[in-house]
Amino acid sequence: MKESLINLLGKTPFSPYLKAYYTIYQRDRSAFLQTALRTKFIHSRKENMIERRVEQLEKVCKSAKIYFTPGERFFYSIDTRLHVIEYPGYRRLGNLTVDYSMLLEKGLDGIEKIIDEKLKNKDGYLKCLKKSLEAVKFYRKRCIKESKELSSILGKVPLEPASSLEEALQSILFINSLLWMYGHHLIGLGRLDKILEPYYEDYDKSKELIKEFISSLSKYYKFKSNVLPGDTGQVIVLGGEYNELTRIFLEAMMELGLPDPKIVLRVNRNTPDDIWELSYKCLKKGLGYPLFSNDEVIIKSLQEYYDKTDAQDYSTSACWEPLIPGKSADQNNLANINLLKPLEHALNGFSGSFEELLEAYQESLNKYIDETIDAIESLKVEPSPLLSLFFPDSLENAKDIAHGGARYNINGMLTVGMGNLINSLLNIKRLCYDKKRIKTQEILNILKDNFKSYKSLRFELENKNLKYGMDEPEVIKLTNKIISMLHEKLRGKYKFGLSSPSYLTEGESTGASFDGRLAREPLGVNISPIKFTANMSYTEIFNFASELNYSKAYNGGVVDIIIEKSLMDHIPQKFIGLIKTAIMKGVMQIQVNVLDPNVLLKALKNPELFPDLIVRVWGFSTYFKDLPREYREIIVKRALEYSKYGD
Amino acid sequence: MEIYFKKGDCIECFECVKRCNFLEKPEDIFRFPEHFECVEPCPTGALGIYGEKITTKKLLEILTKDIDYYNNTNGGVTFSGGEPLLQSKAVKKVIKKLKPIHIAIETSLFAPEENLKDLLKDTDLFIVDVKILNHKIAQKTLQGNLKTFYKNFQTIKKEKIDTIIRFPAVKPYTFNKENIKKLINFLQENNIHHIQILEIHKLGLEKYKSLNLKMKNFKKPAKNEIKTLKSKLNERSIKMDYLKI
Ligand code: SF4
Repeated sequence: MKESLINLLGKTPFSPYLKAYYTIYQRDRSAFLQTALRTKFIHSRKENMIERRVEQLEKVCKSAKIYFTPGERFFYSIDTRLHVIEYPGYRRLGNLTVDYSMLLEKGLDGIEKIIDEKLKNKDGYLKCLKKSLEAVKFYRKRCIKESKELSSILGKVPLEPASSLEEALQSILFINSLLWMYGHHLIGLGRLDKILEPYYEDYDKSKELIKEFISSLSKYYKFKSNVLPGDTGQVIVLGGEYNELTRIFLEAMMELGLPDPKIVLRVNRNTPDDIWELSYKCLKKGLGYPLFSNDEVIIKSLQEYYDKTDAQDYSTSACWEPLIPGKSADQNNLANINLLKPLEHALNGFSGSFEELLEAYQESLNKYIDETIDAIESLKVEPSPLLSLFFPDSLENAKDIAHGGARYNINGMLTVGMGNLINSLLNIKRLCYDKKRIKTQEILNILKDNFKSYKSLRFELENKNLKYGMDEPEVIKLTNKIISMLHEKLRGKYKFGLSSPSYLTEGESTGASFDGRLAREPLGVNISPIKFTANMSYTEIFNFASELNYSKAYNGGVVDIIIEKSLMDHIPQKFIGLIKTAIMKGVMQIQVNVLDPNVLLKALKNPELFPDLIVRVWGFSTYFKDLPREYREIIVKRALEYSKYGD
Repeated sequence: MEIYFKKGDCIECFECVKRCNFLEKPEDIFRFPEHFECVEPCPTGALGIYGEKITTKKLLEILTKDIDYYNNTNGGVTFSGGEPLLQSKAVKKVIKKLKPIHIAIETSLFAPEENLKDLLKDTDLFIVDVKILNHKIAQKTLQGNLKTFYKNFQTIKKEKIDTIIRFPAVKPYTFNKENIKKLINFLQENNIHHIQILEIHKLGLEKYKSLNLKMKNFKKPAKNEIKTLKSKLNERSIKMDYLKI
């Protein structure tokens, strides 16, 4: 409903302001009026969309208020009142990572040189890029005039190449703040340990600087949060190759104990022991990161579309979907495919064999995907000369990344409800075909009734039979079959993954399902069993997950486990061994919530008493107290399941 | 295999009663301990079966699934209660195939000596449950012959296989003056310098209830009683861990 309203607004030639107000309303209902009143809209009436976007950037750079507190190590200022209007019919780019290494190596001046050289023989878009760059430089000039101290902090960056770690970090912060003010959301930071390696100084000094840098990034937490508090998409990707900065970042994050930014750690056979140990310590502290990302699986899978060298340099978008920083303008999170929906349609009036049911499912899945694609493609992509400045291919091609200027433009979708679908199908197979107790035609009535007159059946559906997440050939085969269906349909156009943040929202709009789920209840979380029960174990889930066909489904594939705090405390080596082995066996990504059920139960009653309690939701860590009640409840419910059985 | 019934999980749907002509209510199942099929229709798992008959082949299949995890976490496989020694032939078959993985056997040692001998070669660790060290009471409460226990223990000792002694602290059955004294004697005589004391756990209690066995009134020792025991043991240079489950 929310989705369609915003799309509707997007399509009508309504005043762009209306859409802007609606966006503000959606992001924070309680403070809507307050926010709306202090908002400064950045608008442009230019005909040409690219020129319009350039003018918007110029206005941001001219009017942004500069916040600087003397004594700060780094300058990082965001004028949160600015709202860069998004025009109807367009979709704004976000959820990606620019190429900071180019910024650090060349500086804005170097980038300008590239543009100037090309400008000699071409016109048009490059002029817009040049104007945009000038706007950024103008903003810098304003900052320098602000105060002597600020001027000396900025020094020669971001105009000139960075020549020390401090300059490199300041340069990144400067551009990063502009990206936020220009209205891009979920802006990742990329592989900072690798990017910053040339500027590494000594251990202590570097660590001190990194800590200050992280503290700066963690500012404007609420402004940066997308749908939920903490959902900022500020992902720092570490590892793959390892250096002192990998260690420093992990240590710094652990010592600061902040929920934001978040860490994705690329792991492989060469991941050093002390990096594993540091990760263990971060998780034990309850920070919810790092998320472990399996290089071997991902790099291999990415080669469906990406060049091998680029694949090796992968980073992720806001949660965990792989992309190539500064090279892919991929929008990895364009839509959620709710896998339960097509099953309802397939069952309508269906009679036939189980194989025929799967065919009917595939047919209705295809239709559903077509509709989803139509909805996505009805919107044009809004150009962003600012982002394009930091995409080397975009400069080379003299094309905005919205118009194919980047090297890769492979968008992605997420799927949700795989566990519910698989459990439903397994139940149908058992009850309708093996035991012949129920006819397929009866199923929809039972579901419409929301199990009111089928209580015992519901329990049976929930508790008996094979389940998603079990290391059983039948379950794995069925899951891979659905993956193949998706791949067959989306191949060549879209990537897709097996993890999605929308398990609650999609659940709300989905009727009862034959896995025993009541109408409007949440869908399953990522690649995790719907219900963690006595006969499951961590190793079983990992064994299951390692058998999935990630070469087709790699736009995020996270196994999400919860470990009780008291258990975690006692088993450092066992924990590391568990995760290492799971990765070795081919699990794609692992996210771990370390929770103490007793604390959680108390915090559920009285969130304010636990202001520092951090939990992991979707792909981000956040303060428990900031979450809406439904999200708090689902975390507690899952934690209790795992604490009952999880050893 | 044993049928259980967990009242808390029962939704009174009477599917079990429909299946079985002998039942009027689910609780009646305790009068028909062999009615394993009547448990099957229960949708919630309120009625179910503890234990499972499994072939050694299937067991091996399950255990080897996780073999990489055992190897990478210094883990291993522990065979425990019931009494693995009573199925020594089957256990032997399985552990032979599992080697070189670390194998532990948790046992009360109340089993014929031949059975123990079956397993001596391939076991890396024996976890010996010591409960009651008075011949008469052991016979009566545990249906175990202490002579067998002592004999078996000497056999393990001779073979120099790693051993952990475990002692559940249950008042009044095991945790009483006489028994503790005997325990200490036993440890000293055998030159044992480490013991794990187990706190009785609720899990067991739930399970007893669901099998309709009245747990006789017992308690766990108070904190200071455990402390006293600990210092007594330490004086004799025996290290004590208190494990809570
Ligand atoms: S079938 Fe299970 S839930 Fe139903 S009455 Fe019997 S024991 Fe209770």
